[in-house]
Amino acid sequence: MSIEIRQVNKRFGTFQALKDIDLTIESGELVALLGPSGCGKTTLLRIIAGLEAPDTGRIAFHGEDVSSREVRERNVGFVFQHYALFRHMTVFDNVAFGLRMKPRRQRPSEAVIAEKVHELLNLVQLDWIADRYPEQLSGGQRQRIALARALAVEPRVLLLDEPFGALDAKVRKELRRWLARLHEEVHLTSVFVTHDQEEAMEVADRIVVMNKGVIEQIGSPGEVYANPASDFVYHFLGDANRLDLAGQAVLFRPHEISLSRQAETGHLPAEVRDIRPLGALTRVTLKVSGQDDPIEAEVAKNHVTLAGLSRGETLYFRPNAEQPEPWEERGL
Amino acid sequence: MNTATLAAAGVSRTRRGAPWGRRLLILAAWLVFVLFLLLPLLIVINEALKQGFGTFFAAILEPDAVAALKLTLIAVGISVPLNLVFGVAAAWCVSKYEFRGKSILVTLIDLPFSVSPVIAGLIYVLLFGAQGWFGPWLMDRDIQIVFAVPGIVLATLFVTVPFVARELIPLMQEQGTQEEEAARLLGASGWQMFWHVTLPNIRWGLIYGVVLCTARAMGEFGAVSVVSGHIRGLTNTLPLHVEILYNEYNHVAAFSVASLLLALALLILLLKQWSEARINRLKAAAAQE
Repeated sequence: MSIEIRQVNKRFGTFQALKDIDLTIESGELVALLGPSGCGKTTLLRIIAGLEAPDTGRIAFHGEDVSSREVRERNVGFVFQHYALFRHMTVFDNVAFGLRMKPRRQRPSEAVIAEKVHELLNLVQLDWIADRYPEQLSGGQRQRIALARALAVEPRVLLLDEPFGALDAKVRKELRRWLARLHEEVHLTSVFVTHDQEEAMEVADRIVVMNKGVIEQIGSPGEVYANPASDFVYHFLGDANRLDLAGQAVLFRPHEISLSRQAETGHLPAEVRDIRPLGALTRVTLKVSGQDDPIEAEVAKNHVTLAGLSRGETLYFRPNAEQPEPWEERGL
Repeated sequence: MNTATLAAAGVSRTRRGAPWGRRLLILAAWLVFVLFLLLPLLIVINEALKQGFGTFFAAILEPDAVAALKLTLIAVGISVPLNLVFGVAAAWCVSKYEFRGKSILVTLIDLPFSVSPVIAGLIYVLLFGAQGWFGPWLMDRDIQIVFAVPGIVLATLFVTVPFVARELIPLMQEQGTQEEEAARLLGASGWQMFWHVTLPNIRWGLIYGVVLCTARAMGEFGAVSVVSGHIRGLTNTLPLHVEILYNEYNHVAAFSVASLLLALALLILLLKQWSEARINRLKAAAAQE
């Protein structure tokens, strides 16, 4: 089920939340809406769901205009940032809710509902907590129950609002890999909102980078990272260094650098201010005379220049932005 | 660990350092409670039973007293359900929607708390009385509001408007709209959403509000007194009946009827205590999250 968004505008009072949004999400795709808070990504998601009405423009599911359809008739699965589980119902009743609310003629029997609920709880690997209440669950468990509840009504599209935002770092990492795998299995057209570029990179097929109510760029994780369409995208997708060379600014990422202990042609001298081992990489902070912003360099932890290096020494560096990105080498 | 030690130290210091101040305060609280709350209650019961159970039951079962009890129950039976519906509707709009004039509506809901009940009664006399705005129009159609049952119900309604809404607004604001949105997304109709999601979430707060509302409706004196006209057996509620008996120096009967009112109040209080305990337990569970 594809989603087409055409010329959508939305204002809240004097604040333009969305401006001329045009976006097509292909059937079966997992798309991330990525941007800083207040960029309109959640508003766009709520408009797709029908929880918010756009001022102008239209939304179509698979070519069929759903703009005038009510929330309950759109048949979308929605997972809220804070889960919004029904607090007075057990996990089982939460997941069964959508099936029980169906009109009498379409409503399956309780036996069929029970079977379906257990199937979904197995899918999210939480069949053993069917009798508990939401307040007795951990954040990660609630998130998966919210997902099972959304999937119970067999939605045409799945929308997730900051699905991992309220979880701690380790659980977040596990869950997003799990979500990516789940998407492989069920292959439901899915859109999720996030402000975390790493999360978007890791999970999504395509990333829609948004800022101040407009779409800055749409592309695969590799594309948006390697060929950012604007300064905003460049800065948002990763750390960036800024070097002033004779009045001209050069932007490069911390790993796009070549370091040397000896003076070489094209290399600039800089003082080592800090050395931070970060695991596989080591970050060296450099101070260049004539500019306030330090330069950060990230090199493999066994890089030759690091041997015996200490603060206060002088290193020579050169921005190396032309260096091909790894996925281009691998032909991806 | 650290805070626990500190807290323990703090407790033991207050115990050793200032025991007298604390004991004095507790004693004062008990004194006030006994003197101003418990003693009057005991006196009411004592006075009522002074001439034995026979006179007590005679006073309660006397036709005018029974009529007063009936009227009180009618006033409660009409005003409480109406306020229940109004309270839920008002709390719903205020907590789940943004609209112009919202703050004015919230202030207006509180109006009966700040207006003296006597003035509330007078308003109805001025509106619906023989010399009032709608007086002649009502008279032409032979409709009696003031000095009749409708006036008493209206006055009771007015003074009890805020109870349910006031109880629900903070509760519903705290709960937000996400569960309702989730229900809609899962295909629930407006009525299904209200019945299966909203109502269960506000259940205990609602019971608490209704209990308070009922207690107030039963005990209301000022506003009802103004619109009642004090016609025995017709427009006297229980509190008014107590006053009349007392003014006639019929103390035993007055206190007997008063203790009937007291019994109803205690029953309501027990209900309140029970629902409050439920709410606190739910809140504690929510706070654990």
